Amino acid sequence: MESLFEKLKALGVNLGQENLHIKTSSKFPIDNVIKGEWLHHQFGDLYEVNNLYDYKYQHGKFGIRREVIFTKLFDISRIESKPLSLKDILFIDTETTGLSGGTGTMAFLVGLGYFTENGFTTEQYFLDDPSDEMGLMIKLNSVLSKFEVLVTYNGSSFDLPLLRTRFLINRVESPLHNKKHLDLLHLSRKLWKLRLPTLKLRDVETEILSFIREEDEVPGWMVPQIYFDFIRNRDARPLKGVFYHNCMDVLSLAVIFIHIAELLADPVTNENIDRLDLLSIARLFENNGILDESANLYKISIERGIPDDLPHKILFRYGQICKRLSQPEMALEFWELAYQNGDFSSAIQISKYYEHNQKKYDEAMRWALNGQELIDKDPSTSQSKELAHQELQKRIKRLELRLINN
Amino acid sequence: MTNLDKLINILKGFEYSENITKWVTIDSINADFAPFPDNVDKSLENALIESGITQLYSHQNRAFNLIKNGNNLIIATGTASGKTYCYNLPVINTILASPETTALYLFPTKALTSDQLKKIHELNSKLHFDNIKGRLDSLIAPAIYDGDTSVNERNQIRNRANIILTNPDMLHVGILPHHTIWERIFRNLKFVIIDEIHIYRGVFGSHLANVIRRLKRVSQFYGVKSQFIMTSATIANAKEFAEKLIEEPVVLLENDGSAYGNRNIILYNPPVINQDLGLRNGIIPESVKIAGDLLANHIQTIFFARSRKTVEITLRNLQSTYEKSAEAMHGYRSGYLAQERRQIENGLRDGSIRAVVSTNALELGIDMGSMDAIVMMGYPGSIAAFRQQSGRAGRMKTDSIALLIASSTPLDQFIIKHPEYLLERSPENALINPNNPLILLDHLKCALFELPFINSDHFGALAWDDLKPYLDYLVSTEEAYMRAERYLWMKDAYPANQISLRSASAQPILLLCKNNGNSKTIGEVDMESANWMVHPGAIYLHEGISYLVNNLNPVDHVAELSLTDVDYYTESKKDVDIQKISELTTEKKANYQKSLGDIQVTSKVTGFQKIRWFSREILGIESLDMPKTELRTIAYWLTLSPILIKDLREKNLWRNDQNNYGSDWSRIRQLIRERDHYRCQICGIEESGSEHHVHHKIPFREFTDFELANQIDNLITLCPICHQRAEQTVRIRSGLSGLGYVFSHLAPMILMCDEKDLGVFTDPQAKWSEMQPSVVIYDQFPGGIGLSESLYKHDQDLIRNAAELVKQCGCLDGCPSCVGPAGENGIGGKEPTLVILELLKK
Repeated sequence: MESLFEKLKALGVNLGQENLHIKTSSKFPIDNVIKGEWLHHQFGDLYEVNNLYDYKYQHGKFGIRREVIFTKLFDISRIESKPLSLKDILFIDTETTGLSGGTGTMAFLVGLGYFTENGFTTEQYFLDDPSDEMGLMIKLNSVLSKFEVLVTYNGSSFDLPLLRTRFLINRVESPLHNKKHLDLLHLSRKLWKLRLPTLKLRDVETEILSFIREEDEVPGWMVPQIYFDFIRNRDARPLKGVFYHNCMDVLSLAVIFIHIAELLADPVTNENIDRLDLLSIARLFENNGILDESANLYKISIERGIPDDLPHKILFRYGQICKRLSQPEMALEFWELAYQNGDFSSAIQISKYYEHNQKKYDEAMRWALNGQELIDKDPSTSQSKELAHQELQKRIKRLELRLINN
Repeated sequence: MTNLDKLINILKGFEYSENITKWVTIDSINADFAPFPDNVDKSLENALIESGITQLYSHQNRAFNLIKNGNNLIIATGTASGKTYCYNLPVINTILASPETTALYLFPTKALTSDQLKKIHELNSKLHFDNIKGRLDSLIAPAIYDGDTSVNERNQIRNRANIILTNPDMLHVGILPHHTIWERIFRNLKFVIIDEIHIYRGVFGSHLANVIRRLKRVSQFYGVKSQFIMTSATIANAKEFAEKLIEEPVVLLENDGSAYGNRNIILYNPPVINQDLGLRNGIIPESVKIAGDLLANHIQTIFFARSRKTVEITLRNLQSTYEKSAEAMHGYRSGYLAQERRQIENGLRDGSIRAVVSTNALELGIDMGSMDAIVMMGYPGSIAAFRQQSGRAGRMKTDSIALLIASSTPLDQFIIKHPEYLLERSPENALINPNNPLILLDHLKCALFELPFINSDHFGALAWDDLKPYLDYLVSTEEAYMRAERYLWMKDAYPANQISLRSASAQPILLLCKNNGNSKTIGEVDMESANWMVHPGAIYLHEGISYLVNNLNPVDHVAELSLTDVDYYTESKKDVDIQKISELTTEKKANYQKSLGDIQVTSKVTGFQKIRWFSREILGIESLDMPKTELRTIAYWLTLSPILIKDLREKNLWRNDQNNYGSDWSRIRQLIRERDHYRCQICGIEESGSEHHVHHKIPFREFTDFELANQIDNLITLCPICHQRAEQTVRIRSGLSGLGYVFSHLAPMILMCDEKDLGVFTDPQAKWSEMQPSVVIYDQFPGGIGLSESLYKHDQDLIRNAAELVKQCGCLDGCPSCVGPAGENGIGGKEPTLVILELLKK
């Protein structure tokens, strides 16, 4: 009588090995490799590793602060900032068995971080055995309940849905639904997409924080396999890199939070602000309806000088906002810059301004013709260009009439 | 006089009537009505009345009550009998009473799904609220959730929809593996509707049964047990099949209360054009002929063909014969892309398309408006399919015609001789095998991904002891992790993506046509068919256009084609080798041994023929070096016992050879006997008294030219006894071939499967049966799908029907309608085959 193995093999399924032995112990268990503490729980054991980063610690260009003014950051992120303080905020990053998503992925290492009077503390909870997961979820429930705001990087599409699923599968109460969530990926994009091609946590860490990780680091894509190997051969040494990776993720998350908070609280006097960052913040404020501050930042940007290679469409936008704020001189400056970079919409705006605001029809005509010239030179085809072209024709005709009448 | 009446007169006229072997008119039936049941919400009742429905059919009323009482239900009334209301009414009624209720609707095709959504919307729009509490129609929130649903829509559906319309594939790959984000739906899942379950037989059904097991496991996790409401076309074992699919008791509802117009069922047997060879006029020319009368009388018709190739060839013939109407005629089969198929469905609905040639894809219940006529090109392979296809005519209770044109195959001719078989016998059983090891393993992976397994869990009706070996297997492949008999999924992968519900292999071969540097996908073909359908050099037909296959790349799942206008099509040739792995069970009967066991079938496409269009001349034969495919499966085989063989020899029932061996025969005989020194070349005995015989090694009848037959290399001197023995061996070989031929055509009838679901093979010295003469019939699916097992139990059915068919056949010595054409597989084997069959019956 054939065993299932033999039968499956004959049917073309070839991967299994009969009588595979899974190791249960080795010379390198986790407590010999990384300093930490066992938490024994009825529903599952956890291994806890803690670190403290005090106020002397430097993470690249930045350190840990005692006070962080995050009101602006929270406002923009639509989170109610009163009466919260720094100690109500929890930073989270997970290491998982895969990126496929779905109910078959679990978090085997959860890194948490928060501010205390001594500095920034990280707590990492590790599943030495995956079947202990319920213990982890119970512990997480208890820790998370002490905080009001959860901060992640890309957590809204990955970490939080994953944790929600794990709470549900283990039938443990989840504290997630009544916590506020701040996903720093969104703000990173808005602040730095002009400067950085990709905005993963590591990119921001390297380019903005100027922090370089040590050799212990393992890249994210290797993490699941390291864990799979560990649970089968029980050699915890490769896990050191995973713990380091996770800890740095949490730490960088907190430092990015500090930096963004400070940038937004005071963009003008902040010595670390890049010209492009200033513009990005101006745009961010504009989109959030903080128009006065936005306009001020645009003005300062011009004073400090706008980089030549900035896409003209962006300049055009800045011109538009100034127009909204009834600051035509500033608008003109942006529009002219944009026009010099080839943007015909700006030329049209300038023409309109001279026609309606200033009643200087010859200037208006000059700018209309400038715009026409740009459109004619532009080889691309698009509906907006076609519409602009038609509109310009009408405008020019009207201006001709006006000029004749004068 | 209606157009249809005109056509009926034509059919009764001289041109057709002498080939019509049976004409049955089923009188129109009036509807059997029943009032609305008591617990129907008033607003729902008003909505129905507003839609023009003042009372229900009797079966709709019964369905409502059975469901109210908490039963699982299978509704097996006829096509277009209003099955949809049988489930929509109870579901909507329940939601009106408890708005948090959710329901899942599973349909096999996109077209069906969108039709059904329309129906719910129509009803929904008529639901008004009597008092001022709020908008009632927002309580019913149906939505389609399938591959085309956008990301935004998906979120909204999960948050707010309460009737989810989807298909088994989406449930398998999109919903179950993410069940935690579907929590609201699962926690309130009162109803699961599965439409048209009769199509879920064989492989597809076995997969679906496992998806249902996973669904129930997930529902159980959320603390819910749903009611299953299923619909089906008429099959013999609707209740049993439904119960096997969901592994729970089911109540059967089959008394149809709906109305029907006059239905004309006509059996037509094309005339014989070659008496000796037993050849009849082909179904394609006959279909083209009748298409002329149908088109001329403006009768919208569907032609159902048996194979994709036939669809293409027929379409081509129709378009070239009736050029003016070429635009209004279309093909329809699953190799077309989805958009093309939908265009054709719309054309049928608005009448711009007058004729469609289709495989059985259109069997499914899509609301097409009234099709006046259905022409079946050959028996569709099962009574259930016959009923489904003929049921497509006259859907709106008008009069209709369903015409079956018989082909020369044994099964079709059997039906012509026994119309009662078609018209009176109950349809076949549907078979599935949810515990096929390959299929089960795949779904256990998915189930494990969805939720952990712990000791004493079950999987549908499968108990822990049967489950555990599979889970341990998954541990050994490093896909699962186990501690203390608790199994977890432990791999960075998403198993459902790798598993197709419709076949053994996941990815189909895409057919790319390169034209001026542009590549266009014209269709797709499954992996199994690729070697013989799109081998290099093959001509592939699509919508009447010929494409030449330049290259087949199975690794990248692509075949490269180019347009061509050659005047031929191709047919491939396969070599098959069969080996027995193990015997599961066996039984000795009077004259034969029957066995069921595990075999390995190795096939290799070795070449192909180029066949000219219309004339069917063979233009050339080319050889191919294709990789071999191996199939490990379950088979039934029948081995002739030594007693039977002895009987055969002793009976000496065949007539003596009275062939004309040519005028030179005496001289040749003398030459050969001289050459062989007047000795028998087998036993060595010398002539004494009477002359020895001269025997043709390759039988005379296999040659078209007697000079070739009589070449000295083919002749051998034998004494009368050895000669008789040699002849007997030849008879046995041919009798066995004939047996295989007739079995291969009749077995699918007994098993309600497609001919291509089975493989048949014979060998007078069979490797799988101790070198004895044997016929083997096997499931064309790895691990078997239950067909051979069923045949093992019912083989006498097959034997008896085969005997009757051969006995009653009017041909001389074998023809395509009984044991195979004379001269093809050896020799006319009619007589030996019949003798064997009679002996097997005992």
